Amino acid sequence: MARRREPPDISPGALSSAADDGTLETLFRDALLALDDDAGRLFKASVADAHRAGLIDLAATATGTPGPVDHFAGTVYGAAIEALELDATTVIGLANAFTARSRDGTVPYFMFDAVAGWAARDERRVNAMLQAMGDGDVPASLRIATLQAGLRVDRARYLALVTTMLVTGDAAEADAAGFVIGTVSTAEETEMSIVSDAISAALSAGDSARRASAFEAALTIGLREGSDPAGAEAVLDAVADQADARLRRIAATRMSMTRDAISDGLRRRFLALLGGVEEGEADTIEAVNMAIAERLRGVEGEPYRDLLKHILASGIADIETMDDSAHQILTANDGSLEAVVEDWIADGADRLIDAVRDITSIPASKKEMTLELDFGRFELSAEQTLASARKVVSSLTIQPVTATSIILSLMRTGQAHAGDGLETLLFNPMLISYWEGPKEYLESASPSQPSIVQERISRLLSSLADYEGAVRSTGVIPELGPTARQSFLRQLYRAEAQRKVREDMPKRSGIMDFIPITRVLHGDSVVSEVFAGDGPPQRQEFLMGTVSHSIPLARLDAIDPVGFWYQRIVLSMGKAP
Amino acid sequence: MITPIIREYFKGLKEQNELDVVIPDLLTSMGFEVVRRPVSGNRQYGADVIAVGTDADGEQKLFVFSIKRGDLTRQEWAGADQALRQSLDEIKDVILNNRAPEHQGLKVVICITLGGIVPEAMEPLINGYMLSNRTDTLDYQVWTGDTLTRKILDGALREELFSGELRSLLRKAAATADDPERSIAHFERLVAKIAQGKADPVAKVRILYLALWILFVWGRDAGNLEAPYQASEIVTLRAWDLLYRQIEGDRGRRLDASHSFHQVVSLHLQIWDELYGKKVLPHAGKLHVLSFAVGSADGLDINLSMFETAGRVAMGGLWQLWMEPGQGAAPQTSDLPNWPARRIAQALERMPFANPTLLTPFADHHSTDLALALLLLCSVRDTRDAARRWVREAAQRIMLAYRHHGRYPADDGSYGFLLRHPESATDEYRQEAMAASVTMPLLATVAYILDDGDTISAIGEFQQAEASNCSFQAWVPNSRTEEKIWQGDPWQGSSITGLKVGTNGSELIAAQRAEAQANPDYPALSAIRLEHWPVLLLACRRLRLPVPPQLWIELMDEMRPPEPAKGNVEAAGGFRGEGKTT
Repeated sequence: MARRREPPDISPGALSSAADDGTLETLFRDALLALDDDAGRLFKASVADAHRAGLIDLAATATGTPGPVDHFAGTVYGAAIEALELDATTVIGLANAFTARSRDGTVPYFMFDAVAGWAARDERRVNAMLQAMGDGDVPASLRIATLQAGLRVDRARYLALVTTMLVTGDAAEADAAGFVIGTVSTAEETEMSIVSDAISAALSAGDSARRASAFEAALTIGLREGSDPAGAEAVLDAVADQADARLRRIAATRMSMTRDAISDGLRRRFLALLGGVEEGEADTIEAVNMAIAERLRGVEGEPYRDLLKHILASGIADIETMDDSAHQILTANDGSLEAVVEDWIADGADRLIDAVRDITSIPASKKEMTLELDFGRFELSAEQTLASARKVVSSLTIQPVTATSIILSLMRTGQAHAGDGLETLLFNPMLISYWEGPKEYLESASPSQPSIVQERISRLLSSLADYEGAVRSTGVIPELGPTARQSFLRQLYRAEAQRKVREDMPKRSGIMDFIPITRVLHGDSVVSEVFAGDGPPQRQEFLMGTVSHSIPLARLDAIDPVGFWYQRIVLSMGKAP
Repeated sequence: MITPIIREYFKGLKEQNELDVVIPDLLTSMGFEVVRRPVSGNRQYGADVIAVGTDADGEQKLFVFSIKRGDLTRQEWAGADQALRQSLDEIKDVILNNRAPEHQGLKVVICITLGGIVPEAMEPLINGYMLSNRTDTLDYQVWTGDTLTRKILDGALREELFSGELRSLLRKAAATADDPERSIAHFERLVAKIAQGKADPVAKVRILYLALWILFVWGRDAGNLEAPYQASEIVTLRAWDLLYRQIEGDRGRRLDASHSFHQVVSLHLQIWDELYGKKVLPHAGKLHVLSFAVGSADGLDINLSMFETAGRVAMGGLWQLWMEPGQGAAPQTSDLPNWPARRIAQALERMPFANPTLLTPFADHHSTDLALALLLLCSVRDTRDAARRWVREAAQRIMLAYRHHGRYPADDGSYGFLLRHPESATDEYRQEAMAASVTMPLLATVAYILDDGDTISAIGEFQQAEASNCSFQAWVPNSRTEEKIWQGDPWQGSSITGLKVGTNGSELIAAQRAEAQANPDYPALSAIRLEHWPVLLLACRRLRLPVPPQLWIELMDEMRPPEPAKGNVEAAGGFRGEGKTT
């Protein structure tokens, strides 16, 4: 339930006093936290009135208050700048003051709307701002807001200016112009022609920055709802031979922002361009991840799955990076997951097998995922079947049930001549490393298997019973055990290791750098005030709990650590140990 | 009080090969002359031991002992095939009528000897039998566990030989048999005190033997033979130290020292058999069974235990090998089909593949256990293939572990260090952790003997390309070894450093042959001089000293005869290690 604070005194006198005390921005914050939306709007108007009346001086406050402007104060300043009849010098001064106070030396976001709103009321303001930018007196990042204000003031004049900037302006101007053109809806033929000519000219220009700006503008227009995809196709064709990292980033970003269906032709061109993405193009990879995630499912998702496979197999990114795509595959429930895993395992590339491991380990369930796969369509040879199976065993060591289900699928639908090798692999290392999970899976899966596979399962379970029986019947021979002193030393060592892990945990976790840690002394929950959107904070109670995750430990890892490691290395190469 | 400890010991002794073995020793220590000892497999007409000695009345008599373990039951008295009553009748009918001429004039005492007691309900039966059969020349006595205890305390363990302090140490060692570390600490002190005593060496060894017996029985009852096994190694080595001078001088019928040492070794092997022959070897070939039997989920514990086990098993096999006819001053090929050494080797050959942690020693001192095992496997023709495979796979895994900063054999074999090893994956750490190696040249040597050129060249290449900072070494006895090694002092002997494997191992072998030829101290060692080489191997195992290369030479000559010398250069003299450190 929302709980409002007691509103502070927001009378003109109080504003004046706060200005004198240097606490005006604090008053802005406290007031907005305590007021509802309508009252907040009235308060912002009263601040502008106080400035007009000379009770406060916003410019002096903006320059005289230390530290970054918080969200609340920013909205008050923004509303006041739009409302007041400030001259260009004052606005430029405010923009520079706020920029200087920001943490990273950039223009605070509230200033973009403020400048756009303020400039759109008088063409002279637009010109003055552009002039100041040209002279370097105000951050160039305000150019987009200023040009958009200009289009609102005099569309024809500023459209001409923007298209000229795209073709002949400097890099920053072309960049801003490209963005602005992308936001322009051109229903009228003349305007369309102006924009189209400018984009064509910029695309054929020699410098890559201008080409990229034009490319972004053209794609934005081409992908807009209701647009003819031919425009986007044409621009993709135009850059096909000159694609670079920046163009790929723009294409991936635009594609990820497009929610509409993409035509076959456009998709083909996009995927061809994005197939060139390289390791290290983090923004592009992230955009590709988002762009293909929604389109991976079903039969029509195959080309997108191919791109994902290419990215994974080439080592450009892993499943963790392609998390949205992985999530979509996992939750598809339409056979997409099986299709992907079958394809990757049949391919046998190391990275794809690791991707299978990663994707099947994502579900946060205590039960391991099991898969019923069909490798029949791949017509694998016996050696291919075995090589893939060995890699699966090596990679999915800590997901023994998942690995067992995959090997069983290979046994059932892979090359029949690989059966003996697969049976051996299932026994050692799978079954003798993990006595419970894989055994239970095989027992439960057996009835639905063909008779030859059932026979193999029966033999395996019998071998496991013999093995386990021999171990259990012999039990522990006390003379072979560690001495009391060794056990004591081990306990000390473990305690020390655990202490070290606890100490290192905050250091190792990058996320911990951003999260303040509070030690809670009592109770089973914590009460905090949480901000939700622009409204006032709400009281919330967080029940504390423990988060745990367990993985089965391979018995072989204990009784023969080096051998088990060696076995996994050999298996990971697809060879028999 | 030591009495309950000894009483329980007698109660715990089995009838065959235990109580009937201990009684003659007890009689000897009481001044009796034992004229017949039990012979396994021969029908004895009720008599297990016959001795001539002085009775409590001061008269010399012929004592005939019929021995039964534990408390006497009605079944054992008259119900079973070899019931006591039947035995006593047979003694009367057969033994007494077939006495040796020199014993004809002696009165006879038939001793009913029990490890335990005669229960109250059985007394009338025994007493009635004795009363019915007693004559002027034939008497009966009952020696129970209490009687035996009293006689031991009045004889072998009498106060002047076995003081209160020693009794206390023995009591503590026995009572803590289920805690081997504590038990063996007490026992080691006991051994040291007895060895320092004033009694003659044979008497000291007899006390050690008795103490070991007592600990053995207590350990067996506690279900843990670790302390008795370790104690038996300690006693064997100390017995050698005490007796070898007399063994060298044993002449004619008086072979007391040789006999005493033989008894100690027999008991050591009996304990070995109880632990390894019965508890361990039946599982040696079963996949992972022994590894799990360690009872620890930690790879280090399993690794340490398996190498310790392999070394001890091999040691038992090497003792048996030594007992085979035709063995000399070093192990040679055994071709006797039914001898225990072969059976032990055949069980041992399956151990590393059923317990693959044995393919990767974590500590360099495991080279001793590995050497013992390989020495046994190489000595038995049938098990050489297993030795070759063991060497090859161990070499591969060690080199791989070293390459990838895994668990390669560390020079520091302390548990505390090995827990953390490898603590770092840097070259500096690795060079420090494996600055020297006995394991790698050992593997190369055995690979050479077994003609495995691939393994030799792989190790040679590894030494040259990856482990050039690691000093390959071997150990040989020096002039101080004799006086220290049997007493458990590892600070003697010499290291041969800077051994080079080369591409075919010839440099390595030549260096070891040259050392064997040049070293005067090895052949002078009592255990070698008197052809008791297992004693030296046992000392190496116990003290974690490498097995000297000389012990491989005979097998090497047999399996890879030295190439004829070229020109004037002696084959053995051309190559040496870089240096020798004492």
